[in-house]
Amino acid sequence: MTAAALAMSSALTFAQGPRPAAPARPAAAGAAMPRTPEGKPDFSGVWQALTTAAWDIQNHNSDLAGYLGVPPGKGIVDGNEIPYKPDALAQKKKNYEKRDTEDPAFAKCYLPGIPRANYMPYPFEIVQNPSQVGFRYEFARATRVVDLTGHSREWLEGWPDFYMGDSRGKWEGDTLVVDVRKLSERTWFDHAGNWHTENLHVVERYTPIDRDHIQYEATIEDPDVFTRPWKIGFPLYRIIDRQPEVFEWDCRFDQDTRKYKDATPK
Amino acid sequence: MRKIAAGAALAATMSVLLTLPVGAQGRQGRGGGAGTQAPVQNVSQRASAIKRLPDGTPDIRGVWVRVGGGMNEAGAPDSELKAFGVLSEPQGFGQGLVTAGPEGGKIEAKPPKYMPNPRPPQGIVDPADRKLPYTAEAREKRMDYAKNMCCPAKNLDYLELSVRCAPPQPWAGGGVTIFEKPGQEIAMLFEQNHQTRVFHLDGRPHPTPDMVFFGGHTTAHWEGDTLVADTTNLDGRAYYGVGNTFAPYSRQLHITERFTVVSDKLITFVMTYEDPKTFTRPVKVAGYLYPQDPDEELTPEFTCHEGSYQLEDIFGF
Repeated sequence: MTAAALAMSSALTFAQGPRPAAPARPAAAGAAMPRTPEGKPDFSGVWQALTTAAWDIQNHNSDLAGYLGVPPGKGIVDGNEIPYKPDALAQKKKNYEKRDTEDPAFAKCYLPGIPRANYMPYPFEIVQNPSQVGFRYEFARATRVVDLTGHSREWLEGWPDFYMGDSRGKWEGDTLVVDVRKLSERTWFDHAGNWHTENLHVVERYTPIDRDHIQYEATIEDPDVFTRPWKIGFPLYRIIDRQPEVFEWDCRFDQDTRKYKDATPK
Repeated sequence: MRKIAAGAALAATMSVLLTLPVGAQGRQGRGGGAGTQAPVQNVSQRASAIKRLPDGTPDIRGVWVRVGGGMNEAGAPDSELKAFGVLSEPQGFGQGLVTAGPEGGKIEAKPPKYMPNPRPPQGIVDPADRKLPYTAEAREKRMDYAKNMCCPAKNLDYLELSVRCAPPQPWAGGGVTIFEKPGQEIAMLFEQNHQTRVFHLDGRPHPTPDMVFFGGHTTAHWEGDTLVADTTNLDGRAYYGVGNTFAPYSRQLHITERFTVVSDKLITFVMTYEDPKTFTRPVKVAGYLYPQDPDEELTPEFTCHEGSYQLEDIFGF
């Protein structure tokens, strides 16, 4: 881990209180992560974030909303402050009021977008080639492929935005850095209505802590909504069960079945 | 707001594409003319062209295009064909010449760089006449579907699964990124409706039969340069397949696949469908994969639920 990453980890530890993002360890601690034949960290496996950030990325109390309510929890935002512009904050409050019916992920089972896919309270699998890193999220069967080849983004011109964005990655030492653009404005950061436009730009950093932990950090930029870039961070935990699996879960299909099972076509 | 509208349009387009028989769809650079059934290239001549992983198994990592594997049944019920606007016999995935492009434009297909020539077999190869050997029970169920699926469908149970954005099941086609971890697993991430398949190589058993998925559960092993895959735990609900058949499978469906790595530019496969409640004997379906040209554009996102109003349109709420 680089000095900068360590400094970041310390800041996150402070911000998160009792959930240390990454204990201060020697730089070689991440060396315990398995390696690919090419010598890169081998992140392949099943992972999960153990946060309540999918409900609210900021510090929050319990809430009766939703079918099980919201569990209380520490947020994942560095410093706990999201630097909204005044109008944007007003929109967040509107979103919050209608969260039980309008949250694109929890209410509609739509693809959760980036970064939210990484802290939904369900597992996801990372698969890895030298030229691509793939993600298979359990929630909504979401996927994405991070291209590591430096393929031009020119072809994206004219295409609409993508729920899961367009991800381009590179290795900086042992850290996988993923630049995500082209994100749809129709996803939220959480169930609390924290939002962004299609100008959202996310830079993710996946840094090995040890064999079974990855430090996840992301820088969030959206000049239409925020006054400055801000950061989130939390650890990803390897599911260490013997032969873990990420199963197919098309929750929108299940929602539709419940809604229409006794219906007659008009 | 322009982008929002465009996003909705794309999602709607994708949704419409899903409801078409896949043979009527096209992809830029992945289309081509009608398929020809031809023998595969001489394996021994091409074997040296297979890339290898450190454990000696074939290296098939990267982006491929999967063709075939669908049930292009001969003599499908007329009402079913009519319901989906199919005017001629299906040829399988990837036959379209023109597809929707950004901003409502059209993209003319160009011949894919690595499309094999001659093309290997695709679609039903056994029985040779492509007439499916239904059991009496399955035939009755099939005709019941054909009668009640459209339009409108009798109820939710008769709606074709792709209308509902279900994942495309083990016969998914089109663009696919393949990941390999020797001895552990091979993962396929498809473009089409973000379907994924995992082929477990670590000797794990299938889950208990009460766990079912549209894509089933797959274990596999290498026999030389052939990946032999075993898929069970299938959902059993009817699906309008990659070819054209609304086969009424049961949860006893068991699919064995043999993917043979012919070269670093061609993988051929044969899927054997066994389902004693549906077929009186096994049915075999063939197809192949060829690499996507790395100079081609990357694959766009293929959403379905996110832009679909079909159920609201059908049921009125």
